Amino acid sequence: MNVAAWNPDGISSVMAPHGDGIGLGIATSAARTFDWTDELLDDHERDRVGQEHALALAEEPRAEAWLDSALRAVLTVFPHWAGWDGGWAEGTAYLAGGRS
Amino acid sequence: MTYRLRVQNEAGESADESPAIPDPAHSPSVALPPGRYRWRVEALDASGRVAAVRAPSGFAISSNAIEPPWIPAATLLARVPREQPRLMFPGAELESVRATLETTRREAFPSLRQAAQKAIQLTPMSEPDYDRISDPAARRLAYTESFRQARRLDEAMVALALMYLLSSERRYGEAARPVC
Repeated sequence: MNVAAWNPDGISSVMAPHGDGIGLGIATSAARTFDWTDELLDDHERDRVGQEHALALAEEPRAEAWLDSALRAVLTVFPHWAGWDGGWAEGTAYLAGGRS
Repeated sequence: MTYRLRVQNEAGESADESPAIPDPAHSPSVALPPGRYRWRVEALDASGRVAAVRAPSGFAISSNAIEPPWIPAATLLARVPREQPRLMFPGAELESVRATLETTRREAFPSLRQAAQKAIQLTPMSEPDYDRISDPAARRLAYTESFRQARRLDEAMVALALMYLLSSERRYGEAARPVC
């Protein structure tokens, strides 16, 4: 599949202006694909995937800062709406839908 | 511009102070004891001087509050295996997982093979360009169609890659590679 050729700041970005669904899906599937087929990639391909899509997190020097920020956001900012009962995006049904 | 969070207890003593951070998320490195607190945020300029201060707000920690778990990011990253594969089926466990294809995964594995064989025939998806459509309604319809295609692509990539991982059949891995 050719998603590594897509612009990481365009449609495949989770910050895409008209919807993040495509980027979120690719963030999950491409990470697994990259990990499970790593031995088939040459150094050039591995660098390309890692640099363009930041998938090689364990080797990425900025990974600690990213993970630290994400953990703090989950614990301090999220959930950020719908009060104590939470909202539709915060339940197990939505989680299951996103993971299926 | 960076920001610093200051937290004071009811006695006006400092209970927590963040470093100057560019991120809008901060959690104390220690659990604050039950009580009432006041917090404010200082905006710092490039030289570290306070440029603005947010008016104080308050919060309370009840006596039966549960301390949230916190494991430093560096500790979590140190647990990540150095060698790939590392997601779901780490290399150290791969042989034992493959052994289950004839036992506990005997029924599931043919389903994976079937999905991979279907996926290998999938035409690679071109990068969508719905963002160039100016009409919002037409753009939304195009987005929805691209989203459906992308979901099929996601499922195909994972099925192919997993099939390669478990079977070592190269044709599946070659078809799954994200740079094909």
